[in-house]
Amino acid sequence: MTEFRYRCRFLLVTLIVLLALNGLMVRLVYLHFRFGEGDERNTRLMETRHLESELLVARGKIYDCRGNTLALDIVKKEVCADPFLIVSNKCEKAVAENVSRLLNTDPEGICDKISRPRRRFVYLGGYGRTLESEQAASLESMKLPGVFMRDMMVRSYPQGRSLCHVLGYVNFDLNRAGAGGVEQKWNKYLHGVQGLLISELDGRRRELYDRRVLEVRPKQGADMTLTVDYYVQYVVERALENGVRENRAAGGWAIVERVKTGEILAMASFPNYDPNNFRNASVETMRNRCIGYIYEPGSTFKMAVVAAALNEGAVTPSQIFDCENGAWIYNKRPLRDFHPYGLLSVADIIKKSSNIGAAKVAVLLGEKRLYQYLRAFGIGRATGIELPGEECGLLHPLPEWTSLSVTRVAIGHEVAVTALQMLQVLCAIANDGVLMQPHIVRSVRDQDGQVLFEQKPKFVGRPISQETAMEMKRILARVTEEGGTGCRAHVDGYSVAGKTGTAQKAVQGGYSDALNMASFTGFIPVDDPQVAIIVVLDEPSAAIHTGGVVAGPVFREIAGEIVRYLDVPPDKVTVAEGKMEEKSQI
Amino acid sequence: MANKNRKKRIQGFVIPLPAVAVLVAAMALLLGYVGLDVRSKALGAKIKSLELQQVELQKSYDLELWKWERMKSPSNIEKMLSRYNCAMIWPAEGNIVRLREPESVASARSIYKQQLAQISRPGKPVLHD
Repeated sequence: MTEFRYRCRFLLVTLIVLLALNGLMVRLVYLHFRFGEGDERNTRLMETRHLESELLVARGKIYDCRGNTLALDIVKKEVCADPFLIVSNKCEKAVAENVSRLLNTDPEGICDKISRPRRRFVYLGGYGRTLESEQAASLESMKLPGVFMRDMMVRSYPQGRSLCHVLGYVNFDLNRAGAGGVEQKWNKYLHGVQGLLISELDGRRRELYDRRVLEVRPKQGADMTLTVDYYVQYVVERALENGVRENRAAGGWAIVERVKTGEILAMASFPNYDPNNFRNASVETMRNRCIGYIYEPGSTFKMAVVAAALNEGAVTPSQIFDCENGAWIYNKRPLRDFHPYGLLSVADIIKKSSNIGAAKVAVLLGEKRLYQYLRAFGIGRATGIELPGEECGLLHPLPEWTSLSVTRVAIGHEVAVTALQMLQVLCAIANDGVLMQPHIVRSVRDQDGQVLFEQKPKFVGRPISQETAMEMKRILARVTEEGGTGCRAHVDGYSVAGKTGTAQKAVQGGYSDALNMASFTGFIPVDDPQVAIIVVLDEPSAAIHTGGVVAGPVFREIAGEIVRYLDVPPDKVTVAEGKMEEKSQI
Repeated sequence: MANKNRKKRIQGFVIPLPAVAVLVAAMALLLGYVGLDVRSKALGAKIKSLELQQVELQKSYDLELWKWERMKSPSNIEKMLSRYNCAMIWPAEGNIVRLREPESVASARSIYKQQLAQISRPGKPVLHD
């Protein structure tokens, strides 16, 4: 009897366990094969679990020639909210107050955004508005219901305003396309390839690694190295800003170039803007005036004219010209000098910057040869530097020249150049007559270190012979000596060659008496030129606003520091105050 | 004889040996599958956490790099120096010794003498270099 009861109990328990297991089995089969259910639930379930996300990709970094980072991508937080949750928790006011305090915005605007319970997602700071790490930590500690932060890749420029015109900036759109500077011109290299991940999520919205269907890894953009040295850039920007402020100028720009290779060491334009906050910048401040603004160069252009005449043998450095005591009538139109001069040699025409002397040299050379030389120096065509927005300048074709043109072009009128074009003329003279291609990008490498692009010094042409270049160097070196127009550009311990320029600005119907462009372009040291520098100040309002007085000191400040930084040995030694003595090379 | 046969008869149901073998094999496969599944899931979770860690480390590396670059920018260094009333100047030319590879011992001696003469040249006292 007892055995029978045990057997019954055993059978009962077994039956219950089997029934339970069977139930589970049926449920399992039901879930797997979904008997009795339409596709709707299945689709909804799959949609909830499905994960398809584009993997963030960083743009390539930009470095200066010494490996300092100029631009990189960093992840910042942007503030988002779920209005439904906020309204359900009845904390709209608290959220609006706290978030507006953090973002420094109007609380009513925030309140407007979060008072729409039908919406499940809004940007509280506006798209692209990100928080600093301290702000993000502060917001996180507040634990506001319905407020959360999302990662956003942001292009960041650690040097702030420095080099803004060369680097450009990156738009906030989904493509994150570069705009302006190397960011725009080299976008195809800097912009990486986005990755893709298709997978499934668990109940806690975490990705299930073993359910990963597709994973395309993002390919980070290539890194770029510029020829720019950010210390040189800093020196140039500081000197330029001081120069603009002291002379109450509307703006100013400067370039430093290595004479022998054409590498750009610095390129600055003032006023500038902060590329980290480009949305608040005006279009005018975003313009790279070094290559995107053309102006009449004035007297700095005389060096090209005299170099051409010397190269053609039309004149010699010691040849005397009558400078007509400051006024000369040519083709019934007067031409004047800033100071009246009588007889001047060709070398002194440059030293004293005589308009009449330069015009007479140009007449002697002839307009056809002058035009050919100017073309050979690269006037009227873009230099081809790897930056967007380069202007070609203006050099009228020879048939369009009037009978006066030859005398006006000789003094830098009726012709328009960019600062870089003018610097190229000087570099050709400093580099024994060899014109090199200016470049600002040294190399582009991908993340595996493979070189995608490399710029080597490139020969463009030889507008003048080595002998003429040597003569021109000696002539230009006299400009910064006592009695020359550029004596304020003189650097202690070094010989400097250069040319001043003061050009009236062209306005509607003629030239302005009040507005002008003051410039100085020079190289240092004379015998073995290392760097060439151009400084242009736009509309200086100082009492005396000639290039030598206004731009010369800026050049001096820049050149004086750069030669020390680049460890260029001095070619002169100061023996006593004001007296210079040639030093034998060690 | 009849008694002997009764003793040999086995009481109850005996699972046949091949069935046991199949069951054991199935069980082993099942356990193996479960074990591998658990292991691969654990590895997946580990890879996932390492991936997240890598992303986080990359983020913080970039952020630190950005901070460092800001800190060592020339404008910031100058600001810091001026905050503590410090000014940096370049050394006077006479105080710089340039090292160059000599062509020979004789030329090295002559360079040394020239540099020595340059350094010992009387000049203004230089304070901050």
